[in-house]
Amino acid sequence: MVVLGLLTVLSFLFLFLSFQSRQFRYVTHRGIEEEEAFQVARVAADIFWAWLQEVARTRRGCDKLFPEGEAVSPLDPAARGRGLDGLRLAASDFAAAARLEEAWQALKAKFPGVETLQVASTWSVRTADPDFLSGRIILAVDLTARQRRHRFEFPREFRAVSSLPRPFAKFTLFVREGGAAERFNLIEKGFQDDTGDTRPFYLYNTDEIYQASKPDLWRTSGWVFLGGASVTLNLDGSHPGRRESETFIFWPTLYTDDPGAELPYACTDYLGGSKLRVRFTPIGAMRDWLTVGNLRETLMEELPRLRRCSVLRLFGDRRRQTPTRVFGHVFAEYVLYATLIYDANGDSVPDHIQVDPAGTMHRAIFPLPRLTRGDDYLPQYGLPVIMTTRVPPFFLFLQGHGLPGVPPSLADLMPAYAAGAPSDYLTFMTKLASDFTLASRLPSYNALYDQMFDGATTGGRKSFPAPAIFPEGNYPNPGTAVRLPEDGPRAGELFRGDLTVLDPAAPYRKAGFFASWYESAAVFATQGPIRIRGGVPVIDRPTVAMIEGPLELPDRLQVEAPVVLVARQGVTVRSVVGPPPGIDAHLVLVSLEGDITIAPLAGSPAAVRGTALLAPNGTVRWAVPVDLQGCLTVRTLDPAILGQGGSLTWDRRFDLTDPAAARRGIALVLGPNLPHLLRPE
Amino acid sequence: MKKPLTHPACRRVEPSRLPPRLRQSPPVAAVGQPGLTLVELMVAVALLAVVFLPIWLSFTQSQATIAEGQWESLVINLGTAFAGQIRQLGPAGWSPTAGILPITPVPGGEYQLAGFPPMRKLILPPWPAAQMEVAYEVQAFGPLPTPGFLVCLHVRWQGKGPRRHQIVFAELATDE
Repeated sequence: MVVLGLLTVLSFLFLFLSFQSRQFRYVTHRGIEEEEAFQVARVAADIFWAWLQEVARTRRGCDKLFPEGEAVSPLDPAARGRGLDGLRLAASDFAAAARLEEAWQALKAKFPGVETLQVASTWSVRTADPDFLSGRIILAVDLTARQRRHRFEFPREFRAVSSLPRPFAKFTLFVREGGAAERFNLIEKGFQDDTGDTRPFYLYNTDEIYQASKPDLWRTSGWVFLGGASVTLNLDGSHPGRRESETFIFWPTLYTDDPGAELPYACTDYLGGSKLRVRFTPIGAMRDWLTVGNLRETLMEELPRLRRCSVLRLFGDRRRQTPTRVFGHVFAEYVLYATLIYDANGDSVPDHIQVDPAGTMHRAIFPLPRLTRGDDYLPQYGLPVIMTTRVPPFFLFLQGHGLPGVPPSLADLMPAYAAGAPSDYLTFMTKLASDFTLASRLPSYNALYDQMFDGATTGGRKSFPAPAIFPEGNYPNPGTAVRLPEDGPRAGELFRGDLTVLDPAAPYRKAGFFASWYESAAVFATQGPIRIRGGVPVIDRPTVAMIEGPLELPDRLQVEAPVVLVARQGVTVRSVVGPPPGIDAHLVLVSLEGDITIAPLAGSPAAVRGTALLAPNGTVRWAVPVDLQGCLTVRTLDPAILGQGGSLTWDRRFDLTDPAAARRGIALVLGPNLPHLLRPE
Repeated sequence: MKKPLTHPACRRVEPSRLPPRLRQSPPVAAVGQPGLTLVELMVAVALLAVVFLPIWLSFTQSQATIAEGQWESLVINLGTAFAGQIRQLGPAGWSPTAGILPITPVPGGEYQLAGFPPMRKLILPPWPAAQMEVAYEVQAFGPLPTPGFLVCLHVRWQGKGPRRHQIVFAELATDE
């Protein structure tokens, strides 16, 4: 009986083992089926990732991530993850929802056993920093195959940064530290010279065409900050028809290429009951103030600083006028050349008068020299006098008393001056911009902005000084309390602070800011995001990378997505071509410790387009005239480098104050697409 | 020469060689036991059959499971090798094939397949060609933001039983 019992037990045991073995095989078969379901799920996930990557690249096509209009994106680090944590994103949330569905249907067609397929992602935020967001996307793929339900979850990391450096992207040029006040005044040239010994460097602060009726142009333009120290920029005093002249600042709507054309000027009404007017002509710095006798005598002293004009042109040039708002203790220097004119017929044009007994006719223009010493105020000098080398001196009150409308003495026009007090003469005489008090606003560079729009709203009449367009505190604006408004319906504030202490490198010192790190430029070159497409090096997906050591970028680099490349040491750029038409992309290039060198190869354009250049602790260098499009932030600016020539055009896509631009500035970087999964039990 | 089935130490001893005490004892089976009846014998055989049937079942099932496991291991090997390489290749250089094309195993396991990017060989582990068919297909996959290709590896093997013995590995060659 014992034996029989044992046998029975054994039989049950083996029966159980048999069932177990069948179960093992069933599991094996199920593994095959699950493997196939996983294949489908993975391809379905790849389709989703491909479209999400496209949304990240173009920053459109998904209202939940990049809302159209002026709404703020939840990916904006300023939102601190609100609206993103817990976000559920399905195919229906994409503008390309139909194409996603089409792709999944095409996939199902390859796997007839698949009956249903659903894909949706859930976002969670791990770190919400003012400069970046990071977290995880769980992509859940639910499918039914051969009446079995499968669920696969594909996790993927993400990082979102505001690639436009705040507030530096709003500035065409941002210089942290100034130097000597006159350091930019390097160009020596004559009145009729097109160019001098050194070339100017132009800032174009907007792509809008100048309109005198739009005095708020500064709002949509790039701004300028030249550091906390005092800077004086001498305007270019060449003839308004010459290429580099800055006369356009005072007469923006007048344009001439005729080097013999009359200089534009402004006139007072008749002085008293006379037929005399005072005519003012603003003229910048030029060699002639020191080398031409009558001009030198008009200034009455050696003014070597008026010999040279600035290499830095803040408001563009006469063909492309781009006035903007300037921060820092920035002043403009020019001469307000004053003359007394005889205008009997009231047309504001000086009449021709006989200046000698031989009957020589000459225009009745009598310079009013700039008198700065008390001795000069004495009227016995017999001023004014015609200041020309072609005729003998002609003393207006001694020799011109026969002219109708000319009073017998200066006392009839300037009684205080005639009595020995300077007050009325000082009002009319030739002056420098720096002769005026700060309270008058005139010495400030921002007063030139007022000049450019003067007369647009007051019946076309020019006034001097022009009415202020900026609020008080902008003449000059030291940059210590700057507010960067958001021009959207939210009317928020993007920045408020002191530009003089702002550190552009601060965000780039945060390890969490970067989505990828490369230990050297060589590793970046081989493993980085640059791909060669049709012989052109291209970065076509959002990138936020740190490169240890110096970085050298390939020639004719093209970016097709928001890209931030930060090199620990210097950066060498050959050339950066703009994105193809229809693609909104930009490059932010940062050299944390060293300089940025623009060194185009022979035969390549010296152009760096769609690029924000930041050298927070260095400068930018080039040896040939360059065409920069974007914005530039440096610690110091070497005027000798600027003197190589070129231009910097602010890219409106960098305008942080425009909510749409700020949204397009977000770099959403997806982590590696590893085919691993979380399988919920 | 056939070996004895018993150990020399266990050889049967003649009764006459036993000690007298043991020689006088009767045999155990002879004490009150007339032998197994036919019914008892049949029950015993039936029980033995009942015991051996599960053993046999367990054996055959295990054999089948092992075979399936081996196939699965080989199939997963092929699929992993295929998928990993396709993911590395990216979307450039592909061209659609005209339907599903067979792959004949070669020594070394390197295959330059039609439709694949030039100079990009696919490396696959060996498989028994007599029992397993491997084929592939490259298909342009349109509904993507950038051009992509769906590359499928079809594997069919001769398994036992009614269950499926084929699988398709799919991989998307795209910019993502």
